[in-house]
Amino acid sequence: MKEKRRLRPDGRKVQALLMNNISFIGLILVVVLFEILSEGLLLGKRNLMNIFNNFFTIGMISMVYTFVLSIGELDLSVGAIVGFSAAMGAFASKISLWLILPVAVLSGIAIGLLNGFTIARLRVESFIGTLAMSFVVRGLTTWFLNGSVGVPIQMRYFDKDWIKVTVAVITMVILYFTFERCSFGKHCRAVGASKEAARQSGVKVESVRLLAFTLCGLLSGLVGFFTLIRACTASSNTGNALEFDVLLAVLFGGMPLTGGWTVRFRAAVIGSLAMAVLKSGMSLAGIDGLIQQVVQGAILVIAVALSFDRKNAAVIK
Amino acid sequence: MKKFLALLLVAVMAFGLLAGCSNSDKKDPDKKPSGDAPAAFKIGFPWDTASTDPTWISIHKSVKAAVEAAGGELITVKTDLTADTLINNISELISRNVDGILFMPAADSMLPTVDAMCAEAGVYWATMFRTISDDNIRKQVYDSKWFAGSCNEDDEQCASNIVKKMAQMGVKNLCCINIAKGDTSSDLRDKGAAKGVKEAGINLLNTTYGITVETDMTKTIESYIAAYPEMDGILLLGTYCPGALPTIEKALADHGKAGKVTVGRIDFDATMGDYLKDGSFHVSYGGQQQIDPMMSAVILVNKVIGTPIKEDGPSVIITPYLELTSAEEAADYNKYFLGDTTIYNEEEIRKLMIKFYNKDINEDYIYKLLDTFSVADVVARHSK
Amino acid sequence: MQNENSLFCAKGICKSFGPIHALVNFDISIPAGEIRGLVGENGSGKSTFSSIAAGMQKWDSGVMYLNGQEYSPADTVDAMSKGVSMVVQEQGTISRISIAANIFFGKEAMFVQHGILNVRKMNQAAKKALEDIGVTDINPAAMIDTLSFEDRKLVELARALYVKPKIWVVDETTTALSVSGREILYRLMNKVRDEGGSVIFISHDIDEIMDKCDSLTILRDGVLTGNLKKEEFSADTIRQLMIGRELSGHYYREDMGEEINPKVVLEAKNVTSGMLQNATVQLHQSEILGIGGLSDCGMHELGKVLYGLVRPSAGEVLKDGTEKVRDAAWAVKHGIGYVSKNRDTESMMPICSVRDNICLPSLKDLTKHGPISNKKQKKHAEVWARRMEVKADSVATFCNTLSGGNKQKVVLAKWLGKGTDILILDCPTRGIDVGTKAAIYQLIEQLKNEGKSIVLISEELQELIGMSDRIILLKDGKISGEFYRRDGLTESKLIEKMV
Repeated sequence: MKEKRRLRPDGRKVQALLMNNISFIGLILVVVLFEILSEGLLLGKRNLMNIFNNFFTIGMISMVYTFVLSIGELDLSVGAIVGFSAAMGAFASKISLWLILPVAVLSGIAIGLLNGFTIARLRVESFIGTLAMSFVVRGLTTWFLNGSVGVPIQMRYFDKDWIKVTVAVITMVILYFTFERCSFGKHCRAVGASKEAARQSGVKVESVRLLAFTLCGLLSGLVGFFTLIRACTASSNTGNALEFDVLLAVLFGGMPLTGGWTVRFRAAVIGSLAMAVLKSGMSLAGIDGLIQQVVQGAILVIAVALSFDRKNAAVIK
Repeated sequence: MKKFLALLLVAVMAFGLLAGCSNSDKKDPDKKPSGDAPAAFKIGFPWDTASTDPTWISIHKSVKAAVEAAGGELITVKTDLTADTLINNISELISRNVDGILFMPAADSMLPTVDAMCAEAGVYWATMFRTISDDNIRKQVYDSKWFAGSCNEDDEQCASNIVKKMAQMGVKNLCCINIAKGDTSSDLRDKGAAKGVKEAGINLLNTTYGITVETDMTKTIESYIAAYPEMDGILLLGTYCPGALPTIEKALADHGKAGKVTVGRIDFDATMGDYLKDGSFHVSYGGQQQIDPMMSAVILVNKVIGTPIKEDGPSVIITPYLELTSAEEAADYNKYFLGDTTIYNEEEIRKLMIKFYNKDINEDYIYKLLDTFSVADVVARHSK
Repeated sequence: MQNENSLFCAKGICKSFGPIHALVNFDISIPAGEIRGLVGENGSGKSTFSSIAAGMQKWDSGVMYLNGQEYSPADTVDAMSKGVSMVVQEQGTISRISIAANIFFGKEAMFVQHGILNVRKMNQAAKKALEDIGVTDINPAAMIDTLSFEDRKLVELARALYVKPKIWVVDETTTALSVSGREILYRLMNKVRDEGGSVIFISHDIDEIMDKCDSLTILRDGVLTGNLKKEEFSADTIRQLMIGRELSGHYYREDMGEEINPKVVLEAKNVTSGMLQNATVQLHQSEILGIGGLSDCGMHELGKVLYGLVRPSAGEVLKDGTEKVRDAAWAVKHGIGYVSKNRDTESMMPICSVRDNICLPSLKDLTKHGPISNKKQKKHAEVWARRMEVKADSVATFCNTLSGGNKQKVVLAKWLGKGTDILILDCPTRGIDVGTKAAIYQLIEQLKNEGKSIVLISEELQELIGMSDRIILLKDGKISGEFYRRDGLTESKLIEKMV
């Protein structure tokens, strides 16, 4: 400890700069490494769209996950919500194709609201509450679907890259704006930093928590729609284990699990990008499935260790 | 501390680099057989390469052997076999310029999507292990010029046959265990078992569905023993329960029924040998896990190199189930089906399955070949 | 200073945290059998020194001697075995283990027989340790969490004293103790002294220091500014040495009170909640309303009810005689602010910058003219931090690095920035140094003069008498008396109604 303090100020500055941008550096490292490993295939024109498709699902949810994480909670039901809203959308397509999108999004909002209610009003620990919710929703999805349900192939018309890029960019701008420039985003972080202090400063703590989970449900529903029209099928394992991909992504981006003011929006974007590149890169480089898991796990542990011990997150909540 | 972690990160990445290099040993063009050979091609294959199950590894090997026999390169991408991931896998494979894609579908309803993607990119595709139940989708897919064909098994026939075989072995009162209702294979096997029971004139006492853990398996067997003292046969039509056979055998042994009840199962597994040896297990039908993916790959490869097995429309081949009744056969199965060499080696594949090298090949030829396929056949060809 | 017969002495102790010098060449020498007071403003280095002496942190340079031997504790356990133990300001017990386990934490080996911890023996020893300090009604086998905060402090006292320390450091413990708890503490301090040990006593309460200590060491900004003997004690001298200047102007209000504005801005009507029974309280425009009593008389509850944090089980709280105070969010929106007694856990977000803390209640106002930018927030925070004279490098500084007084200034800046008209202050000067205390008193008076209304809840009678226009006293949850400044206030009159 003593040695650290004796560092010259400029040395410390460089170190701080490195530590604060570790996730960004990680992303660049991953890109450069796999660009070399895949002999230039990674950043090829066609593969960029694959990376984007990988990013789309994880990134959309990661971005909204920022809100949930910043209030110091977890949502382990996002994968189940994606599956559920895809299933509901598929059923809606039997009535009218125009109903798919609204039904999928509304299903997501409904489950999100239910999550929020369980956690904010019934005061169930979010880890348990959303985990239980994911079982319930998964079970319902499997029961309703009884296998899988398809939607007409012409729905693939909406699985266009430009549509998804537009949706992703608009979502990113709106969520970024809400998180960094609106009182709701700041309130989320205040609740995460200290529930009681936030309440005493006039923040409607319960409403903020309810809204964060509902927002998470909404985006999950939207992702459910895009997942549905991409494969044109909803099955009981649609969105399977997506919550863990999302968690991996945000942790990779250096998001603290404790919530509060150290949560950065960019962590979600950078983390999801890095995850998408990593997945695509490992596949392109022909890395064996078992080793892929090992590499992913190892990188995660290191990324969390590196990003967690920053100056302010050191204080235990 | 931080420095150390940062170094570790670099080390992990370097490890990834090495692993990547060691795996990307590409086929050299000069490895082609002398004389003329098909033009170089690439086949994409999404598979769960993280699984260490010997059967899953043998499936990957069988596909690889079929592709490399014709001088092609197999590009495997990791998948969890869900519809969404498969679609992403296929998208990635297309962008990597493959000429054909082979996969195990997660649902009928994803097939039109796959066909649309492949048609757009001009890539052939084929499926393995699964039939198409939905009539509309089947028609649509079979009409597609990019669908090379598929392999699947006659589950119904297989179930009927094994019931009759068990009846021959003296079974009069049978209990069954099956995968959850709704699964295509489960329903077909149920139907077959009912048919077999009727034709052999024996009793079907009960069928239990959807067991996934050992404790439930034990409970089921124990309640069978208690409820049906007349039970003299147990047939495992299919299950996702790990260690199913040892669990059943343990339950029977605990109640002094081991060897007194005839036990049969569909799908081979690696533990059958011991129980066949001590006479507490009697018959199994299976072996399709190796021949099916190999035939599926062969169908696709033939299509891709321009020598399709069937000129008009896709080749849909039904592969047989093998019968296995002795410990020796079980040992041979473990050695020759799950071992280092595939059921047909590359040379045999070229000679017997690739039309480019053997102009006589057509669907009938393949069916004749499949008729000769058995455990003994593989042993005869490879035990030297 | 180079006293040969001193029990404990330190020479040239230096300690810095980054660019901040917490202690500069600090010397102290304490003879045996003395209670030494250590005073200074927050951030003056007194806590740094005491934690160094107790082995809680390392120092940069200098030497310490104990009984003439060089003393260099590796950690608190080492310090305790050498005869130096400490009771800290914050909660120093470990949750979810028994009281006995807390007392003998790190010393369990004493009770290990054949490799097994003899819990019964440990509980007996704990019972004795508690009895030694005069506490008989605590069962040492119970979980520590079953005790109140004050009783936990007593457990800490027992832990510190069962080793019979030669040097006992008491760091701002009195604020956490009830009156009876304090009596126990004072008795124990005297006991340590009479047995030939010494006590280093740290407190913000100058009256308490003057009353209990034999001598004083005063620090300012990490530098020793004076040593005083008992006969040299005077509140003015001490304050002057602590702050380094004459306190400008006055400390409390000097006027004798005036007619109270008849306009009622906030009132609790027949409110019952928890301890509180059927209380009716009215706050008038530009009035400082003092609320006092013993610590569990229900006055803190009353503050929370007035702010809408706690919904009363009966009765209602009205603003301007008509609108019902629904919850804290409503209260903030309608110009009511609240400063909790538990500053670090309830009034502010510690792992958060000064800027974000100050802006939190005003975010909705800041969005009125478009989205919130960092610039806008920074400007808002800077204006109010400067107004409150918050000592921080910048508004981006994290609050957990600030001293207690500065934290409280941030909390007040937050409400000033919001432009609140009614402020409910629950023990606003608790654990705060004299300089900040004076600043807070001046601010309260100034706010009153601006027409704002203030509820001042305090356990310190001097403070209530010094600041209030009107004082309401509570006893066992009921209002027991009301006094007006203009009628003249004395401590004895108030105490009569309190107990």
